[in-house]
Amino acid sequence: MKKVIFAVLFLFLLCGCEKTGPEYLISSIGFDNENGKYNVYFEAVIINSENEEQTLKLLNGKGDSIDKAVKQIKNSCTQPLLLSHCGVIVIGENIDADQFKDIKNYCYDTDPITLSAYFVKAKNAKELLSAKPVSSSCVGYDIMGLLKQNNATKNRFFEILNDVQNVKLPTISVKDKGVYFDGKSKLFQ
Amino acid sequence: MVLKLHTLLKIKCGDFMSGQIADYKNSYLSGNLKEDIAFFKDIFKRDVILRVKEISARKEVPFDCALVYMDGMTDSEQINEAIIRPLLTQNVNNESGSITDYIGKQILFARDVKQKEIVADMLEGILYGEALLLIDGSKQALMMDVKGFRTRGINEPQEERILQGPREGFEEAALLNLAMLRRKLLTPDFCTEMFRVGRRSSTAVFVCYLGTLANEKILEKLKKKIQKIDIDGILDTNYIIELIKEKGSPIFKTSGLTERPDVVAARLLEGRIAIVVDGTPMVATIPYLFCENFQSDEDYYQNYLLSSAERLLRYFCFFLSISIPAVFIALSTFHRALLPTPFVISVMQLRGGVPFTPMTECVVMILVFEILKEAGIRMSQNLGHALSIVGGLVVGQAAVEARIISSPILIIVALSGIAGLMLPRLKSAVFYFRIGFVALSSVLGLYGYFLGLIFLLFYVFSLNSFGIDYTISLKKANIQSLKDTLFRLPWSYMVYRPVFNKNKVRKGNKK
Repeated sequence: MKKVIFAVLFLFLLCGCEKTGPEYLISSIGFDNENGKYNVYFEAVIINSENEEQTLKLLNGKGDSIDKAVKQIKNSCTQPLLLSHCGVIVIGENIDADQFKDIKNYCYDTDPITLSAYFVKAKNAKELLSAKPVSSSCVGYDIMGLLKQNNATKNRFFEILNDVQNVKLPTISVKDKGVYFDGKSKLFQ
Repeated sequence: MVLKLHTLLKIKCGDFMSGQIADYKNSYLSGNLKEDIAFFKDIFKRDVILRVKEISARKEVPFDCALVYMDGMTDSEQINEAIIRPLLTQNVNNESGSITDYIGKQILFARDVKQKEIVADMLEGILYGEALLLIDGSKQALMMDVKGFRTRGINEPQEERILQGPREGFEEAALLNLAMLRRKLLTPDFCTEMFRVGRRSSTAVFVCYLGTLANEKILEKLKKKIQKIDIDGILDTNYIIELIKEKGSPIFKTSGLTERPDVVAARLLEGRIAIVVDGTPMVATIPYLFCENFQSDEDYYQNYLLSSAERLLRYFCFFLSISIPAVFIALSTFHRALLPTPFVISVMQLRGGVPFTPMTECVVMILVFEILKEAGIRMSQNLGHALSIVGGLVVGQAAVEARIISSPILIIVALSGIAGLMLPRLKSAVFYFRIGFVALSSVLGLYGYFLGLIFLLFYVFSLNSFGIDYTISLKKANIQSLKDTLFRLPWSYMVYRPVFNKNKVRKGNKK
């Protein structure tokens, strides 16, 4: 018994240090369809130490499946991605029903992505997530603020999960001074 | 002749002399004064503080005697006035009967005179500050109580200071401590029993209780355990506590320790038993319940509403002290989704550049906090300010600026440490459970923390103190059971004593 206790205590010595460096907090995820392939975008808030400014980076991956695209993104980063604070999932207009099903499954199966993330629609996810944030540190949180301002908050993942065909998603567009709320429309016309 | 006597003694006691008083259990005086003096001088041949005063009383009935005592342990004024002066000045006219009996009853002025026959009893008395009078021609000697060793005096205990209520504290002389208890409990029901414990120290250990209240089973169990103790010496109450402790409770205290006579008196009135050890101001009480860890002496001397609020705060602080570092590590490492985004960003920013894991940081900071706390207790008061500056600046600010530790961990450990300071009786439990919870939550996250919490509950509820459930007062959810546990009800509601009592009714209905 004593040997086991000592062995466990020594194991703790192995976890003494960790790699230092900026951390990537993913604030929003975007999906576009490009010739039947998935184009996945992660808007990452790069958090440095307190003396340095936060920076934004749009990470991109492309693949036949979402997993392949995400793997490509992960390979391009040195630090693990923190997905648990992803607040918005942007669906591009050209995503079809089957692809949306895949997106839904991916979000559902990926443990850190919470069911409380908002689903929004945009003409082009890349264009939206590349916009300049105005009211917060990133576009994802700007969109969340916009949804709350316009009382369009009934589009969380758990609310649309079972009724994809009839659900109306807020449509967000990019104009000169940031992102705008263009009303609600059905996901698939 | 001395050699002959010693050889005789060796034959009587067996060749092996262990240096204990018990070696002389079967030894008796010879009746020859010179031989007996030589015998005692031989026993204490390497002890320079033994004094032997030979007295020759040339009276109507002349006799020779010798006074044997330890210098410094006795009151020289009492020896002169109550023993030597009457022996030299009082006329002895006892022609028939025992001279020892006559001197003891009619000559000596000493307050307590006892006749002794066995050498072991005489040695015990001499070593405890009594004077022995050897009389030529008598195989019996007289022991006089002339104790007079200097004591520290009655002061307020430093560790148990209160704002309201009695301020006296026990000191090192057990008899004085018993007198302080007796002064608070003016009843013949107050019983004290003495035991000599320690092969070489032969320390006086007193078991005190109120005869009509104390649980006899616990009392018998305690007495048996004390009698079974076989150790070289007892220098503090903790020796006794550890030696009589039942298995399975190394972290939580199962006997109370206090320096305050009012606390002991209150516990005796609840049917508990006190253990007073000579040479230490710490008095132990048993049985000890879990809720006593959260009680303060002052709770009973101030408004009950305030006391109740403070007591609830102590329970909360215990929970906070053992939980907060573990919960923080679990949330910031495994369950970041449960934290608000701005808070996560803030923590990530503040932790940026720190090369250690939150667990390593936390354990190191807990150890640093304990080191500073221990150093603060041990060092002289003059260095206290220097320690606070070094501790606050070096460990706090400089370590954060140098990115050795992060400020959230510093805040968390400091908060946990300060909360733990509210519970001095639980300091070992708080320390071990805090570290244990941190280790569990850094491996299993919140699941580990809750696993630890469940273990703590099972552990606490499985303990007992001398056969009494450690959490007996928390097991029944009624006002009488909880009246002095989570909160302190007014005295008018304190109708019954704790459940382990023989006589349960505490408060009558006198009109």
